[in-house]
This record gives sequence, C-alpha cells and structure tokens, in this order.
Amino acid sequence: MTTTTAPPAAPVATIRRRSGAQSAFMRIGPAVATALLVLIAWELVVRGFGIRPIFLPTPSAIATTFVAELPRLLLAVWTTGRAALLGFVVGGVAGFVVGALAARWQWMREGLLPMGVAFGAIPIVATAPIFNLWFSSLSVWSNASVVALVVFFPMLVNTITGLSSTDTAHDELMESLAAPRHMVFTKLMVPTSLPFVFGALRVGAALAVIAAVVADFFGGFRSSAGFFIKTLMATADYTGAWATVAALCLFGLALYGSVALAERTLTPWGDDG
Amino acid sequence: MTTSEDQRAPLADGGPSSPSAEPADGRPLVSVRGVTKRFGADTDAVTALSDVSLDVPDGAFWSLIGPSGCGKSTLLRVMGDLIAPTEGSVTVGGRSAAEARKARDYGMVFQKPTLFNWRTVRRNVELPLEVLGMPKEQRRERAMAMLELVELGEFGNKRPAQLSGGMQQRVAIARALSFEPSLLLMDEPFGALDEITRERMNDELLRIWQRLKTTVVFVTHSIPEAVFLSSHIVVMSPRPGRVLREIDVDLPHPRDESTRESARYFELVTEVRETLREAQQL
Repeated sequence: MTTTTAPPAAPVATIRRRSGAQSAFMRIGPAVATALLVLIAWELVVRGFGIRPIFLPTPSAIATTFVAELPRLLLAVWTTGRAALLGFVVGGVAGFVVGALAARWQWMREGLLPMGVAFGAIPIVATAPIFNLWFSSLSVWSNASVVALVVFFPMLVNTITGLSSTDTAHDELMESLAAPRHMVFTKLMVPTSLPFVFGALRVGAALAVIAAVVADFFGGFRSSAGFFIKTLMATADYTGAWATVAALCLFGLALYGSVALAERTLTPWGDDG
Repeated sequence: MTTSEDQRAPLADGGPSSPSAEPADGRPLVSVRGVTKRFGADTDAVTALSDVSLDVPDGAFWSLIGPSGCGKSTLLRVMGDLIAPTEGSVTVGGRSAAEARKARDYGMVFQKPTLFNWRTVRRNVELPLEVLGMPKEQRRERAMAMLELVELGEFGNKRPAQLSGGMQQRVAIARALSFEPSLLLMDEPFGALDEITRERMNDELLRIWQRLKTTVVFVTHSIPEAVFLSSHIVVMSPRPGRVLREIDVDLPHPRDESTRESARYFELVTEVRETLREAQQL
C-alpha cells in the first residue's frame, strides 16, 4: 500500500543562477589550472633532465629572484608600462577618431586607409630610433609614440569596419525618424561599433607591451624593463631576465584584463546571446 | 472637426503631435499620384512600380498584398520617403513625403523587430522620443504607457534578446507609435511569426488601431491577415509592380474569432485569392 508522499522539493539551489564570484571563478579557473600545470611540468622537466639554468631556469628559481628583486622589477614595469599605457591610450583614441572620420567621408577612407596600412607595416625596430631622435630619448613620449603607432592601425581598421556595419533596417529606422546625423552616429553607429572597438583594444593591449619593451632596447630610461633585460643578459643573469619577462607578462595580463572588464561593463548585451 | 485629433491622443500629456498633417474633411491623408519606380540603368532597368495611384483616407487601415516582386515593399518605402520615386509624387496631409518624414509623420515597423540590442526594451521605445528631444521624465512615462498598450508593461527593463519574436515585434510597434505619428507604415511585420502568434498579434494590432485611430498602411503576403485587419485591400501584381484591384473590406468592428469564422470573411478571402490567381495567369 502506497502512502501519498510529499512532492519532492524543487532543487532550488541548483536552479539558482551562479553567484557573481562563482561564475568569475568558473571563467578564470581553467586558465589558472592550465598555467599551474605548465609551471609544474616546466619545473619537473628542467630538474629531471638536469637542464642548466643558463638555458632554462626553473620556475621556482625565477619566482625566488622575482621576490628578491621586486622593487627593481616594479620600477622596470612602471617605466616601461607607463610608455605602453600612454601609447595605448593615444594610439587607441587617434585610431578611433581617424576611423570615425574615414567612416563618415568616403574620400577620407580612400585616402587614409592605405596610409594607415603603410603605418601599420612599419617595423618597430625602424620607428624606435627615429622617435628617439625626434623626442629626447629620455622622454616618455619617445617610446609611447612607438606604442601608439602600433596600436593605431588595428584600431583604425576596426573602427571603420565597426561604424560601417550597421544593420540596413536600423539605418532605415533612423532615416524614417529623420534623425540628425550626430544622433545616428551616437545612438546607432557607435554602439554598433563597440564590439569591434574592443576587439582592437584587446589586440592593442598585447601589442602595446611588446612595442614598449622593444622600444626600450633602442634607448630610453635605464630603469626600463627592456634595458634591464639587456643588462641582465650581458651579465649572464638569465634568471633575473626571466623574472623581468614574468613581470612584464603580469603587466600585460593586467592591461588585457582591464580591457576585458571594461568590455563586459560597457557591452553587457553581449552576454544575452 | 476635433474628432480625429481627440481619438488619436489617448496618452495625451502634451506629447509631440502633428496637427498640420491633419487633412481637411473628406480628403485623403496619403495621396500617391502616378508613382513609377525603376531600379538600375536605362538598358537593364527593372520596373518595380508602374504608374501607381492610391488615396488612403485618414484613419483607415490599408493592406498592400501581392506575390514577391510586386513592389509592395517598394511602394511602402516610397510612401515613407525612404526611396525616391522615378516618376510621380506622394503627399501626406498635403505635404510632400520628404517634408512629412522630416515632420516625423511616419512610424515604421519592419519585417524584423530591428530593436537596438544594446538598449533595454523601454529605452528602445524611447528612441524616437529622444530623437524628437522630449525631456527624460516625460519620455520614460510615455514609453511605459506604450509598453502597457502592447501589454509588455513588466518587460521594460529586459533586453530585447530576452523576449520572444512576437514580443519583440510588439516592442517595435510600441516604438513606432510612441511619438503619435499620423501614419503607421508596416512592412510584413508578422511575416516571421508562426500562425498562432500571428493571429494573436493581428488581434492586438486591431485593438490598438481601434483605440488610436492611426492611419495604417500594412504590407503582407498573407490573405487571411489582410482580410482580417484591413478596411481596404490593394491587390498588386508583379513585373511590373502595379495595382490590380482594390477591395473594400466591410467586415464589422470589433473583429474577433467569430469574424474569422463568418461567411463574409471567407467570401472576402476567396475574392482576394482569386484576384491573386488571375494575376499569376497574366
């Protein structure tokens, strides 16, 4: 004989959306785990095969140096990172402004895009000495200019693409409302372009750090990360050089992470699918 | 003299209205005169519309129906001044189509909902009001009233992507009506919806139209939809796009499920269908 049992309680806890902290952990969890695995494998391979530190130091040795040299590393990252940040902002803003002008006027697009491509193709090793000559090699603007030039190009191309990628029906809607041009720009074109603009910023964030370090090799401050690496290599302090690279990696991650965070905040509709 | 103005302002709180678009008694609101539209260069030009003339009375619900390529969407866009006619002219309330558009006489609803996915539902409805420069508070109030009208009052803070296709199209209708345009142009707005949702949307649209008395020009390729909604049906045929026949729909209002089952409804559906079939044989 069966008795009537109470209906099973709804699994409220599992239905409930993941909390913010949990979902953030879920997002970076795989990345952290992968990084840890690689570091452990690295440590084991170097120890197991007895690789000499001159070729590849262990992560633990690099970490020890990193902690011991922290003040100097922070100064190095600050010196180079400042140029990277400045150049990132200037190049990004310039790329967007020129891209907006090019999207607005056909003749500007035809005139500017080839020039943008040409600028984008100039190797950093060529621009760095020139900018050192133009600005003083002890001006932050020298290396920042190298960075700006590198960030400018992807931003220019993506801005033009983004601003021109409005839906035809959206265009017709704004036209039927007789919306003035500046409103079409701010209310339709700019929001449409944002995913493209953030794409360029993500690429630019990575390029900015590379460009800033390469520019360091051609002059600039003695406290810079590039100069630091060059000196450490010359004195065979390879572990120190690796520690500097690690510090730059962390800075690059932080810059990229800030861009990704800004993107999530400013384009929340991307999550809705 | 005040009747149609009064009927059109159910949300009257000093919003933008366009009294100058009001036609004198007995005169049509929209007048299409000898409109021809050719696309392309002289030699291989395609004639999308050939010598179309129509007079849409104020407060009427007109449908343009016909097979693909009959130019019904082109005609709607010529009326809305989104496409310039090759020959002929369009006037709305005595003004040219271009003047009417600049005076914000047109509310447009497209085949797709064309909502801005970066805005909430409410801010989508506010868009035309922002373009018109209405103050924020008033704008918000009006948008909420419009969402109530399409029975989406609780969805103002949702994102468009969180709504179903039918709900999104209702938001688009609320947006198109938010600034009380004198003419609502609808381009196959329910074409992408399933039959059941479409019928419900038809009921809802008729209810809104009865309440606001806005003049509607409605493009469709669904015969039952055209008969159920319209006060007047313009049957068009392709190559070149032209008016084949105009049919008055004398079904009484309010229309509901019983209308769809009435003998007169079936007669009219048959009449439109036979007209369209004749067109195919031409």
